[in-house]
Amino acid sequence: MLEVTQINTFRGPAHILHGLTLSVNEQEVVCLVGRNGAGKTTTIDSIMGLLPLRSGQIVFHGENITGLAAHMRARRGMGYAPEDCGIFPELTVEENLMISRWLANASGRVKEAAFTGSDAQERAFSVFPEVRTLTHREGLHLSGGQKKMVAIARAMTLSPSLLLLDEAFEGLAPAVVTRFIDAVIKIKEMGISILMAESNLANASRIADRLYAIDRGEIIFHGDPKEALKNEEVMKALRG
Amino acid sequence: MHDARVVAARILVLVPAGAWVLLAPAALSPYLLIIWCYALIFSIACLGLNLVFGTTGLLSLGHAAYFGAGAYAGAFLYRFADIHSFEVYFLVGILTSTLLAAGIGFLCVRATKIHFAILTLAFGQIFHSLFIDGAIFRLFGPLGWALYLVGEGSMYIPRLTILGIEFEPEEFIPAFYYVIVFAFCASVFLLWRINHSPFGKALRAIRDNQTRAVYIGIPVRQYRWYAFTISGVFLGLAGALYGQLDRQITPEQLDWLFSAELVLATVLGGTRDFIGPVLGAFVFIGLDEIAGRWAIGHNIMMGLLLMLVVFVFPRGLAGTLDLVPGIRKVGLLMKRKWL
Ligand SMILES: Nc1ncnc2c1ncn2[C@@H]1O[C@H](COP(=O)(O)OP(=O)(O)O)[C@@H](O)[C@H]1O
Ligand SMILES: [Mg+2]
Repeated sequence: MLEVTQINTFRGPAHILHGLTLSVNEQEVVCLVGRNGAGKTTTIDSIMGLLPLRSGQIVFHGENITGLAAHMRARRGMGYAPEDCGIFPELTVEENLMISRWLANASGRVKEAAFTGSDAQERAFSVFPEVRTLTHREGLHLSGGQKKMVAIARAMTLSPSLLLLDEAFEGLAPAVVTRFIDAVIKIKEMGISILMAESNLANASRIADRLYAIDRGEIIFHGDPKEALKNEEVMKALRG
Repeated sequence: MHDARVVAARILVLVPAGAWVLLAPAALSPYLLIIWCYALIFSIACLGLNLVFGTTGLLSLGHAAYFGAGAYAGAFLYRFADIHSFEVYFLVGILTSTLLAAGIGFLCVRATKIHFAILTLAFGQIFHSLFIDGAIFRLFGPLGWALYLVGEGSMYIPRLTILGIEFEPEEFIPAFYYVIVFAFCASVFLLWRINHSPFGKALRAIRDNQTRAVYIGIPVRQYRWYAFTISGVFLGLAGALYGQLDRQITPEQLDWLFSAELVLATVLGGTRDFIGPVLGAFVFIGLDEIAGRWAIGHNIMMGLLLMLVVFVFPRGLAGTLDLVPGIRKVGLLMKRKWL
């Protein structure tokens, strides 16, 4: 469903991604693993359209979206939960979700998507029931873990077919990580594909169907997560 | 169903307010009634500006243009089409300023922050100069040019008929007052609805973080443009009312100083609270009136107000009042979902 081919991305003058290629299939959890500064966020931002590509191509559901604006990609079914969660601090959780729900209904995707914005929101609540109890809280007053939940719930409210999660487990206690991993599996069972950026290989190998290892803007490994754990070169690159 | 406190708070606030609004023509001297009318009109303009300014986070220094356009359009209509109906004058004024805002807004929303402010200022000043040097009047042929030479860019608007009724001069303002009140209530209602709609929340999201807004699917530039255009509707509405109230429209209403006054009054009231611009507008007009009586220069008052805002009320009057527990309580009860 997502084909990223030979992309080169710059941040200012710095050449960050060097001919990076990856793909995500229907109903698949793919992890992009690499240490800090490897280029994971840059990859996700490029896919979402927040950074322009210097060259290369991105195809989503058979459509070339390389030049498409980010908000159009969101409407085509890409949900994004960024590293900093991107919750609007002055809006309540309800309002954060309300915008997405409304946009999902207004974008005309509803006819194609199996779920409307409000159904999608119900599905998000079924993954994270906690979010329902937070609806009147302002974004500003959420804890780190709550922000992560709301960010994923909000991305799901847009009825995505692909979820991009950047460091979704960052800063969570180990028990909570397990809780989130269960949530990701549940989301996948709803038929949503997931591309996650993750710096912890152990976490990634717990959920990934397939795994890419990235180092200095290049894919250095691609395949089964268990293979990655055995591959010394990959382990060395991930440790730094 | 609401609990009793909500009902009590609403009765406590709305009944005296409603009684005052209805009785103002009887209670106020003719002169004070005009000031009161002007404050209501100025409130509508500030509320309209705040949709772009406080809600979307774009500082416009050119909103005087849409206010002025709302009044001038009707003045030209009266001169050249010989139309005496306030309703037609009013609708043409709103339509003109809406189109103007849509056109200028389309270009301005391509920029953000200081560049946006500069662009709005530039367009506002261009529009202003078209009236100052008479270019607009030339479009209307020799009669237009003669009008310009006689009035130096200002135009006269007679007492128009309201709902087909021709009022006697001394009856006119008390009658027109109710038109203003109706327009004020309608504007507050519509802007409240817009502010609390998902579209309004999306504008706030754009203000808080543009990138975040983009990846949840908000077409940022398009929504900014919508906000700008809607804002123009209310500025035009206010301008048209002003033209009929004052019955004289001058290029002064198009000048950037007037744009700055709109911004100052809005900041004084508080940009983050819905009702802030209304508070600011009333206090601004009140102080302006007092300053006039004590022969304090208008500019000195503006300077003092600016200092007051920066040092004493950085959150605006509404934000400061919100810190008073009793008022805060009533405010919260008022804000509860209606019906
Ligand atoms: N705004 C920026 N300008 C220039 N370089 C940047 C910027 N942001 C990140 N980088 C660089 O890009 C590289 C990749 O960063 P990033 O994609 O955030 O990595 P990751 O998400 O894997 O930690 C890093 O070397 C970082 O220093
Ligand atoms: Mg990162």
